[in-house]
Amino acid sequence: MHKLPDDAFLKIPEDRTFIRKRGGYKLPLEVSKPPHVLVGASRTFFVFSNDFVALPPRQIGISHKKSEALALYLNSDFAVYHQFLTSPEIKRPVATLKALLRLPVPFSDRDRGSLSDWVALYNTIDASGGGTNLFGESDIASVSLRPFLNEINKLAFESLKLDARLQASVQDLVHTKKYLVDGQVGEAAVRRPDDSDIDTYMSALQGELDSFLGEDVPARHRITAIRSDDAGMVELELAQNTSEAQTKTVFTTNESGSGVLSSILHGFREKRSQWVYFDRNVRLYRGSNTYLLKPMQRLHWTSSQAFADAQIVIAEIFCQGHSSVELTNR
Amino acid sequence: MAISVPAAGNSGSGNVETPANAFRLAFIAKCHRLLALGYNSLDSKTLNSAEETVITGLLVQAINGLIEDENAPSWMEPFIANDDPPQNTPGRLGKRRRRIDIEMVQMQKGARPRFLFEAKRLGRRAALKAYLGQDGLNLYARGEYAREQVHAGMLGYIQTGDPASWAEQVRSALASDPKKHSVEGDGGLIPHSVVTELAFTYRSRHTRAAIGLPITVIHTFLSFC
Repeated sequence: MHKLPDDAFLKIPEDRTFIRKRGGYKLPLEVSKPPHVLVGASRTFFVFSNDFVALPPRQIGISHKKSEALALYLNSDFAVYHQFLTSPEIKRPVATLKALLRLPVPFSDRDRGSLSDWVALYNTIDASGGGTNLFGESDIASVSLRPFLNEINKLAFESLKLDARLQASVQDLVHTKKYLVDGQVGEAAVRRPDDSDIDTYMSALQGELDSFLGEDVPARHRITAIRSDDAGMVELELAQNTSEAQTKTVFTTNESGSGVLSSILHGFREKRSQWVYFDRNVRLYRGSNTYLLKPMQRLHWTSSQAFADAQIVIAEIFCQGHSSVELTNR
Repeated sequence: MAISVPAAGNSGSGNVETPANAFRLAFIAKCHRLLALGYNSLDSKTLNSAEETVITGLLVQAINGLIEDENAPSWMEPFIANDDPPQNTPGRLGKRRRRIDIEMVQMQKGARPRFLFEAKRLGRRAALKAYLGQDGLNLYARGEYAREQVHAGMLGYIQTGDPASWAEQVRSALASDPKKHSVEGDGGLIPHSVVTELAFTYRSRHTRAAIGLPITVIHTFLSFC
């Protein structure tokens, strides 16, 4: 959310214009003064305001000279990730002030350079009207930051100097894994991955494997994925005598191929208790090729899973590569 | 036969063929690149009479300093160099375990790639014997070190003479009594370029009858004089 709707603000009636004496009034008054960031008690919004707004109980106000930059940063995936890991029960609206205060802020008033990109992005969003609401309307005061989230995240990751692996951890937790906490089986985590998800997974897997080889070994990985409704298979093939990035291809299998993939995966399902079955990844090592079989659920096709898969493949090939064919199910 | 200085370039040379070989070559190259960077950051001339453990300690400290530097390149991040870690071998427990001089480990999920370096000073009279002997190269050949690896490293800290002449002495000793050193067929000491940053690297291959897993030993000669 970029701005709160006008009807979210009420003029304080005269009979409630008082200040507390025992609890102190300097700090509450200070955070009510603009420029400041208005924070929802359940962390559902972080909105910059340039008006004097008295905050109701449990809502948080942050007074900062460059509050517009802070408001954008607080809307980034990293801020959500950090609050998720540091708040005791973020799923319910009990995110704590203590957790919010622990959030690292990658810019300061003293370092004007660190702020300039944020302020520029805020001005761009402000000038554009901030996008549209759920109904596609753009002419109301409450507007969404959703169209700008990629830019906000990019800026946050650059400011925090997070590498690709850490960025994937943040984004996969916020957009996928978060929906599996506390016994949830959220659609975002268990839905069937689309071609774009698979391509992202393959890019991360290929990048990680090839970066391990680096410039010292003239070989790169060619990756092919075959998808069906229930299961998918990724083939990693080592292309020799090249330092050029190799192709990534996705195929959709026919009915019989789909049956074969599903039956392999079902064969490796592990019975953990009377009623719970875990779908696990299957890895097959054969000569220059490695095959990864995975259930067709989004959580198995994230970038962070690709990094984890690459590490396991490297470890298993490196440490157990003395025989020609090995089959592992973990 | 005299051994010439290996040509620069074509780092990480070796037979890729399988993914296992490719990953091993890449890992070994990274370990040696770290070694070279650590060595280059030392004032090597001041260590021309230092004890082996002193040089090893400083080398490991320098390598870990590079790894932990805030601006370290990302490939270094998962590495750690261990100074004098005990090695688990059958029949030796607790304090009786032997200690390898340097162990490089890549930290990651699952089994972790490891590369071991046994170091010996080369300068005094009996140095060659120590380098090749029961507490040197022979530890690999006997399978006391690197039992689960097919590659390992020897480091020669040269305090007198030059790397090429020491390499020739090692080559000659291995060639004159290959059985004693468990040299495999044509696996005597030959130049072997691992990374361009290290000019004097060689390799030898040894059968390990005791454990049934041959080993390729990469010899790196570092000058401290």
